[in-house]
Amino acid sequence: MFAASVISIDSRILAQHLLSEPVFLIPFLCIISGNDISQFILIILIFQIFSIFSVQLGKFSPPEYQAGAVSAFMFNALSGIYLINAIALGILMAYVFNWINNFKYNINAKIVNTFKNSYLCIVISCISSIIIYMSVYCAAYYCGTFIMHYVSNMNASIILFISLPILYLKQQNVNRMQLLLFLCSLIFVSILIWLI
Amino acid sequence: MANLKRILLSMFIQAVITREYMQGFIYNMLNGDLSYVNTNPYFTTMMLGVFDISPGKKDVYASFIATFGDNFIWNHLRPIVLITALLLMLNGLYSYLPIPLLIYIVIVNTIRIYGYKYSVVKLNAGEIFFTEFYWQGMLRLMRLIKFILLGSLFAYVLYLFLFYLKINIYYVIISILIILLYIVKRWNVEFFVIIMIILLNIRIL
Repeated sequence: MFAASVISIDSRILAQHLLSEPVFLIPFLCIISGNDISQFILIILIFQIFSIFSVQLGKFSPPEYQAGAVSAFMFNALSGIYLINAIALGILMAYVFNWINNFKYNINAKIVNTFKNSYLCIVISCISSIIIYMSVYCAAYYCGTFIMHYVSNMNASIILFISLPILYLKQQNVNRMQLLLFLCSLIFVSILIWLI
Repeated sequence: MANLKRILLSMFIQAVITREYMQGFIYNMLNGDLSYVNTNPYFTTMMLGVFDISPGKKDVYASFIATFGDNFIWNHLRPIVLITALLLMLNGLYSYLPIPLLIYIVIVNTIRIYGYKYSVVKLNAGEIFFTEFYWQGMLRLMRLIKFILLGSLFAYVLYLFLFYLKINIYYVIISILIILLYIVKRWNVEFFVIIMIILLNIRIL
């Protein structure tokens, strides 16, 4: 997991010019972790198709599919989550990493305004991005295993059903009140189903 | 030595990217002019030549280089490299995987090493960028290769769905038609693929 975090640290910043794509990354990770590569081809295929389509469609800021693919690989290889659920969690992680990239912009603005030395700014920015990305990967890994500990006895597609409304909300650009209403209705209906 | 410094710093072009200056911070380190610059990160050294020769026109050249560079890198070079690597992996030729990676690294770093010289020569001669045959010819060739490779990848995905996952032919045809509809209407493709994964998951379980 730490190898995955370190290699894919902020693919938009440091490794962008050398090794940032999962096509080259995941075979390397497979060698490190001793896994068979053939079962991860589906992960790479789906995320690369997303990546290519999002470029073709001219999205202004596509989600970070590199990070998503690496997290899907992590969920499947290390947490033992079922492959298709790992892919769905990876798509969600791609959106999460997009928010983290935006968060990184704000941190960079603070670093530039605080430190006078330019080289120090670059070093601090890189170190902060390493810490942020690694902590998010660690959190995702532990959350994934935690979820699977409770969900493994149920129908495995539940994660996908949870991910659907989130993706739908992402697509619709809802405001905060609508989001609150949506969540309240979701909780209310789920309690009703649980009671019945 | 100055060129080496330029090349090394251009690797960190997006390290301190901010909303106020975008990539302007690194240009400030090399030229002492802190202003808003947003252009393609692979053509940084070419942009530095513009900073040195005609800094008054930097906004015009930044948008010009960004338009060509985004088309060149994101729309042509990267899809070609990625689809080639994917097709090699699908065929089980893992030992050939470094070839597309090497092509990518060589092209990107050639632009980085000779970009400054190119832009200085072009600006001093008063000519427009990217009008040479090798730029335009390479773009045309890459466009052709990209479509051939995309077609091959699509065929492989069909093969996977039909024979590897053993899914009904009507289901595959309907999925492809819906994906094409999503692409033509510019809807969110991921959203549809998630639905498809759920359907697949229910079939498998």
